[in-house]
Amino acid sequence: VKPVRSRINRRAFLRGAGTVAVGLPFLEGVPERSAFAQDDNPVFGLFVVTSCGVVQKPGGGSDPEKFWPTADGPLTTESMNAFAADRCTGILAPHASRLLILRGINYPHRSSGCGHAQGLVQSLTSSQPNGGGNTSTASGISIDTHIAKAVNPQGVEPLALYAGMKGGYINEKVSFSAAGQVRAMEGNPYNVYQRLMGLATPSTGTGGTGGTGGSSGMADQIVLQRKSVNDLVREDMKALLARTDLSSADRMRLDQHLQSIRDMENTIIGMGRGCTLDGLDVQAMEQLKSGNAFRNDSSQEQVSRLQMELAAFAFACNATRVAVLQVGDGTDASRYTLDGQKVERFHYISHRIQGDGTTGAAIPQAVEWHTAIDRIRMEGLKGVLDKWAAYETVGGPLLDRGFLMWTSHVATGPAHSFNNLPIIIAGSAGGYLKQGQFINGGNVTNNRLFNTLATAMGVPTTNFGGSGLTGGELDVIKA
Amino acid sequence: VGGTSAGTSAGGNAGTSGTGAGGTGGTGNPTGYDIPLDGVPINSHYVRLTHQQWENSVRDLLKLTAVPGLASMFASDTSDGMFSNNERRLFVTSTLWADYQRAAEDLAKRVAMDAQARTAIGATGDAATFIRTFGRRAYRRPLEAVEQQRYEALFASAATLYTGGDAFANGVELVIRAMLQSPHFIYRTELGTNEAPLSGYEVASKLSFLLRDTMPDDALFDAAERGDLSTIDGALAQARMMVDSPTAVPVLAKYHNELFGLFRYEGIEKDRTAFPNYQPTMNQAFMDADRMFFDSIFQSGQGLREILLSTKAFVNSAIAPLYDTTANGSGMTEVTLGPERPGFFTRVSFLAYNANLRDPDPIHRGVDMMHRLLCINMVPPPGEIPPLPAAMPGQTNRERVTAHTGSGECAGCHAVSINPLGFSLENFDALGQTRTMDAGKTVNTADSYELASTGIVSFAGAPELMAILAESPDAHACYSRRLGEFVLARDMNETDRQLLNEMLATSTGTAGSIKNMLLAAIRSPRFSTRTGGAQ
Repeated sequence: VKPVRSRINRRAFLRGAGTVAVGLPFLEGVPERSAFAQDDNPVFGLFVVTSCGVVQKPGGGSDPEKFWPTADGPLTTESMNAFAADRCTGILAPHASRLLILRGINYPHRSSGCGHAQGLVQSLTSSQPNGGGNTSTASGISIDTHIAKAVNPQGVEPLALYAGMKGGYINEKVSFSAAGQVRAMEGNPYNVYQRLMGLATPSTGTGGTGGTGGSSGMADQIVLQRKSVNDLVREDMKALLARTDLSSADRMRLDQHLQSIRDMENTIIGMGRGCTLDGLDVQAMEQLKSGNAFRNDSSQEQVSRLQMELAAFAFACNATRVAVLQVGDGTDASRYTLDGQKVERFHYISHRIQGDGTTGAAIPQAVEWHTAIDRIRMEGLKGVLDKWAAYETVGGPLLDRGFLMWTSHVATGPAHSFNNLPIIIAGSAGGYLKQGQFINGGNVTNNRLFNTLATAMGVPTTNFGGSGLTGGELDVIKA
Repeated sequence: VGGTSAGTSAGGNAGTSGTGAGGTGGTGNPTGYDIPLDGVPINSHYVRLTHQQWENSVRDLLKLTAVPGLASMFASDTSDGMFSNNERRLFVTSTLWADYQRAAEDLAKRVAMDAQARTAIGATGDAATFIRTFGRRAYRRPLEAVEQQRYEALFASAATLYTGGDAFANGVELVIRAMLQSPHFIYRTELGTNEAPLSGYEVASKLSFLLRDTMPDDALFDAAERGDLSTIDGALAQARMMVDSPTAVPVLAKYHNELFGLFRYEGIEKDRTAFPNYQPTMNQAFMDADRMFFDSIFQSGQGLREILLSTKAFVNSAIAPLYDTTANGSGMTEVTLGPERPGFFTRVSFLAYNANLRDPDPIHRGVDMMHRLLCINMVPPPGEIPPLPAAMPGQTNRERVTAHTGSGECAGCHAVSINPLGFSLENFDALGQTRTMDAGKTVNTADSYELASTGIVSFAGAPELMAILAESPDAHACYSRRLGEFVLARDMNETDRQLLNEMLATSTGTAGSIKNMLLAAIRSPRFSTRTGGAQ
């Protein structure tokens, strides 16, 4: 299969160029021709880390089992529908043939402090957390960084997204660009959209693109102007990097900056048919963009859905191969509406008390509410998978060419268990993963899962997470 | 390889001659208590502007009437370190670079295509003059000859890179685009070898970003050009004017906001049945009231003592009743509270934030005071945290917390340190209102606490505790350390001990004002010389 080579759509390009309020399109994020040209079958991966555990029996103390499928083995729409009323994963029944639900996966390192922070830190790094409280940090890079370094063009970071409130106790804590260096995440879907929209072909049916009526010569001009400006800035950067009085930390910092300066190519290759604004809910993004709307206590689920759709859009436009989404933090203060009533903060509910720590009166309905919230989260995931099934990337439908891994930063609510993490993988990653299965991973650490997923993405990996861990792939999930 | 470069350079590196700053042998520690200085600075010579500094600098550089508001769409920084100006947070990722590019293009177009705006930034005569004068302000130092040449070439290239429009305006647009993306605009630099003095221009920028949160104005540039800022006395003379200017007020407001976590108040929530008088709109009033409290302390030349002891408060009609007083309208007015309300930690905002939906939360009141006032970083409890059981009939909140945390493994931190500080505030309910009874019993606010400096102290309640803390080396040293971190825009470690002692001596002295503490820090060679470099 040859990649689709198409000229960038000039109408879209010039629409951006002619609208000062919107700014010029973010074509810098687009990989240069050389980077992806030799790879005809890209694999895309989105890692989603939600908050505060699920209601499950293993490690859940007195909690009932409300999450897992009823039996190991094949999953079909029919078999999942049969338990959908009782177990929330059943809500995903329409996508049964694309699912790999995985139990028996644990964090490598035991909690020695705040379970939330240390769970977040390990969720995508498998590394030993340093520090116990909200300053806890990873001793290694996260899997999205590992993959991006290998498959993204130089300087293109993973798309790092956040959904929910910040300013709480922990904030973003799953994606690490280096040991100890957490990656900031974008919580406003509209900003993500702004950065990516220049890639898209115009949405059908929206009409009137603003009559800039430009020519291809105008696009060429913009490319050349940017090149001239970039060249001058590079001269400044190189002069600084040539100094002999730089510390290694500053050298690293300036080098990262220099690598970020990318020229725009007027010809973009490898954009899938899904690289269109059609699949995006721009209206919702605009409604949420200002003030606290995108990060208030009831916007988390909607923002989460928008961010997962934007990740699909970025994949379809070949802007990055890997993305990561953190939904809520360790002390998630989101308040869900259940049966028309806005209930306590999710973190309180997950602790079963009115408090972020040990103090607070018991919440009698907490298990019931947590169960209902898990179901809302599964409904949201199902909606995203409906969209993902329709996305066309350069290599084919996104659920064939990529995967979405959904997990939570702790396995259970009150006990903060690090074992039997809830893991749902949708999509085959180019046929590398088993599909339509509920599988017991065998009580192994999550680095094995990441070795497998990285390898699926074309980054052969056996020892992610450090040498102290049992390495190798998780053969039981490979097709 | 991580970015830790602990200062191992106390000894004499070959080649670094004496700095000539002199006079570092001065003040010892006046209190006898040495607070740990265990930060991990990377001593970066390239500290990126914060997003707020970028906004303010663009406004001033381009002579805009207001900040452009573009940074709200920039990739956010991580929350590394306590303050938003900490060097560890401030670097350029590929996403942020793209954000800078977009903003630069937007702004350059806006200014260059508007004749009035061009005139305002001096883009009138010939290209070379514009580049020289505008370049000094964008780079915050005179351009070097090679830089001037590069920009003149870029300006001239506009003739071929644009097909229409005014050639001069196009050249101006390209130059602004490039200067806004240059590392010399994006970073505040401290170039040179370890322990060499900063240049006058670097001092101008350091002072201006610290005390005005923006680039230097022309007067400061001129002072640098004259050489006025190359001596500590010269820099201090400028700094004195700057700390007395209204432009310093929002900077210190930001400092106290981040130090005491006022931004967290937006998450306050109360049970509407237990507190029918609570409205979510109060959260903004809480933030405004505390900001005005700290503004008032700073502007009136006061310091930590008054932060802990002042009975002034700011209220509007919504929150005044929480203090059993009244006020008109939504605007804030100053009131004087009774002696039971000394200082920040007895304000309704702090108390309501550190409370549950219905009950006061003495544990988090205590933890917040230890962390933010005494610089004690608590290690979270190990393993799984058993939930606090519901109160038994007749059991007070204090009795319940004590029963749950006051013995066994928990007691090591809770019984000795956390709970006593929190219990001193048990006469304030979950919304910060005064209460005398809990579960049918008189509330008990008496306890004792072991200060690292002087040992165990006993108190009957918050007024006595605050009076003790206001004279304690612990609180003064912590406040000095935090303010020092803010001034230096980095963590502090043992090599900064002398600077800390200078600030501490000021804080504990009779005129212990925040303004004088800032000046004490600026007087230190740690402010005006480079730290770190090639290894």
